[in-house]
Amino acid sequence: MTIDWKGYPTEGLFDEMVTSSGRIRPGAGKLASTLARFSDDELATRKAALELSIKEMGITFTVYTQEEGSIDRSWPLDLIPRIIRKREWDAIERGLIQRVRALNMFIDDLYHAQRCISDGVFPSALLENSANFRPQCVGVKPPLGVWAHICGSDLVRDEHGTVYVLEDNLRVPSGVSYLMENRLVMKRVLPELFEDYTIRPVDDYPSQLFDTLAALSPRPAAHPEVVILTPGIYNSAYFEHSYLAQQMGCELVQGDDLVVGDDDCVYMHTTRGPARVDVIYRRIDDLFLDPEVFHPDSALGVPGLMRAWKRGNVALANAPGAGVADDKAVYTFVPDLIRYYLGEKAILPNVPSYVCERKEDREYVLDNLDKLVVKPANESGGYGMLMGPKASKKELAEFAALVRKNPRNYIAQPMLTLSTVPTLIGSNVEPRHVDLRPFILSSDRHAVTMGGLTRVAMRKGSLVVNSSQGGGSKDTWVVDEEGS
Amino acid sequence: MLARVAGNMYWMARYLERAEDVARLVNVNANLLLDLPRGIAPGWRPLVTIMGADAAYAEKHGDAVDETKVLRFLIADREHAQSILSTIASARENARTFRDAIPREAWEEINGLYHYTRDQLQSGLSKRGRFGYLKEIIRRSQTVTGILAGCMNHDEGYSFIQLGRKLERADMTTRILDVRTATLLSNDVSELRSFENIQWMSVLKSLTGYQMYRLEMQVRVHREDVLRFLLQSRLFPRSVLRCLDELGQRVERLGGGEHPLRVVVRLQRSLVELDVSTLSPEGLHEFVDVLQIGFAEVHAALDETYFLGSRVAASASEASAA
Repeated sequence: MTIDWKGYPTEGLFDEMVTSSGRIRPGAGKLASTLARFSDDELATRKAALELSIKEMGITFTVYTQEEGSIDRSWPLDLIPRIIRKREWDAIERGLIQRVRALNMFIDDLYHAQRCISDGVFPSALLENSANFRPQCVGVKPPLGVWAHICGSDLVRDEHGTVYVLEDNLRVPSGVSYLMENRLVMKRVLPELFEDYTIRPVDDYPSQLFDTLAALSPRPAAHPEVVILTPGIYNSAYFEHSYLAQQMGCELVQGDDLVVGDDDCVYMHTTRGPARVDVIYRRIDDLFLDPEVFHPDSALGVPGLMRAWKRGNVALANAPGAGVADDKAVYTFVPDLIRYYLGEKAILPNVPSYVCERKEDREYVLDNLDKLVVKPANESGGYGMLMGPKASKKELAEFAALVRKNPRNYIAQPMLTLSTVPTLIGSNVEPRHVDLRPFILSSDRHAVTMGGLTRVAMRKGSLVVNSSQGGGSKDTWVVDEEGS
Repeated sequence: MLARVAGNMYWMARYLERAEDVARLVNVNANLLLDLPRGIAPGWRPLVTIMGADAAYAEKHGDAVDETKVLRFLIADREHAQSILSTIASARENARTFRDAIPREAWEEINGLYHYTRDQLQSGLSKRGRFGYLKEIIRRSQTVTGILAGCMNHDEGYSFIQLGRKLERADMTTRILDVRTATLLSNDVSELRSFENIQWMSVLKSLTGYQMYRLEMQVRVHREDVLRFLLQSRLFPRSVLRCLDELGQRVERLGGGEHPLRVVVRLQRSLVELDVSTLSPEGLHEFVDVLQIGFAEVHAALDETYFLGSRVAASASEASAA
């Protein structure tokens, strides 16, 4: 049996490849017909080749289990790519850049004059209770006034086909290496499709990232010393840290490789003694950066690093404190912030959200808990959420109590039916829900990855796409053709 | 480059070289045992001794020495840090910390070597599968070496990899010589002479040196010439002197390594001045001891100069002065 697109069930779903009447969408025709030509054996062979490539290339992610500690798992990638047409992508890209520009102006404002509060655009109560606002950063002027240099925004498409921003990750978003590795694997496994399609390449991200970082250098050197600071090989994103260092040709350092001198400059220990560092792409959280300022017992960071940063002797990306905008409560204000700072209308809509801090919103949320998704303001990775329609009575009661106790910490959104993409299950295709995480770079320029990392919930009907919780991924093709 | 990364590269090379050398040693020993009469065959014990693992082995297996136990200990024992599986796992863990600094294919090859060693273990422990298994490990280690030589910039990092490899190689050559010569038969028993030659040949073969010996020395296999070849050849890449020559040149090119260089030069001189023809078995054993202490000194000096030294010396004030 081969893949039969006619029997593909799209009822009640928005599928990105097949319309509700069973027609293949424009742009996906060659992919659909190529897959349909494969015999079961051919499909199995391609799938095996894909898995072998991933194993050989050592593409892993780390999971923690109680029994075995941290172990490396092979990265899960589905054979069938997701297709986005270039024209649609261009609009999304403009929307993302617009969003990040406003967010950066917002963060800079919060750490300086706080005009958005005095002008009544953003409530001071939300700031006072923010877990990620860092008083240590007030008054600091990072290079170019940019705080969030690397942003990973999660996009979803609902059952009507509208693309929404679900959240903005401004702390240490990860996943970009998998986006590039997925492409490399697909080229090895389905080379014939790359001849048929004009697929926009994704691999200039590392050089874009390097230029973005180099532009922050405090010294006007021709070759600024840019390093990536990692917590080490046991971190779940270590693969990515080392991948980016490799691709950018810069040093991958750990906290104890760095030292802050009496001159408040940062140096790394080399085989020839200390060498000055200009820009640090840090992949550790704010609170572990500098034991002199934050967690005093953190061994991951560098004593004195905040001092060096505040004096402008080293650039940190993202800047400490940028996470203040990585907060579900702030999220609900982003369309207002875009209008306020840029005088523009938001290109990409937010998912309609209820801020539990507001009395009327809170009452609505508590009355309709079984219809809503409730999210804590500061968690990432899908933890601590309530999926109302799927929750038990007991869970609903527990969450109601949590929301009443600490309303600032929660927002609620209607349960979206995420769009689906055909996914290989056994030797047939079935619809599975997906999201999309593009990455947006900002310093003296803006750049967006071509497409993003598509994450897919591998269990039927599931909306959980996180790889730590059984999610998979897909290569994402931004294609030029119309109607092919 | 980062001092920590330099150290990790050096260790990765040492572990890989060790795994490769043990694999050769096991294969050659198996071959040798097939050629020798039961009564005089040295068995498997010497391999444990060569690895300096007698105590660790005794703790696990007591006095029981048989092929199955020794091979499991040398190839597959995860608790034994010198087993092939452990050293390859260590090499991979080290490589993981500097994946960014070596060519992608090199990492993929090291990763593949680890998966192969682990996944094919059962076949590797069987009598029939063993030879092919170890040969494949050797071949894959050589591939790593080849990729690094052919695709990596011959920069500082490459020099540290070479330092690790050469030092480990010199160390293994002396270990093999030491243990093998101790178990070799005395010169007097004339009817066993042919077997003695077989054993000297096996020493050469464990170091893949048999053919090269014939080419360079142009004589049949004699104790004296074998010793001269393995200790003093300036051409054979596994001879101790040749390894030291390369070590010295690398350190010189790296710069700043006066201390390790002094130790290397001292060892080179003692090798050049050694008169093998007057060396008694006891004298050889003592000489090997001197060499091994010297290798430990070289390692300590490299560690202090390149891997740890800058960290110890780099107090904050010195850092500012730089």
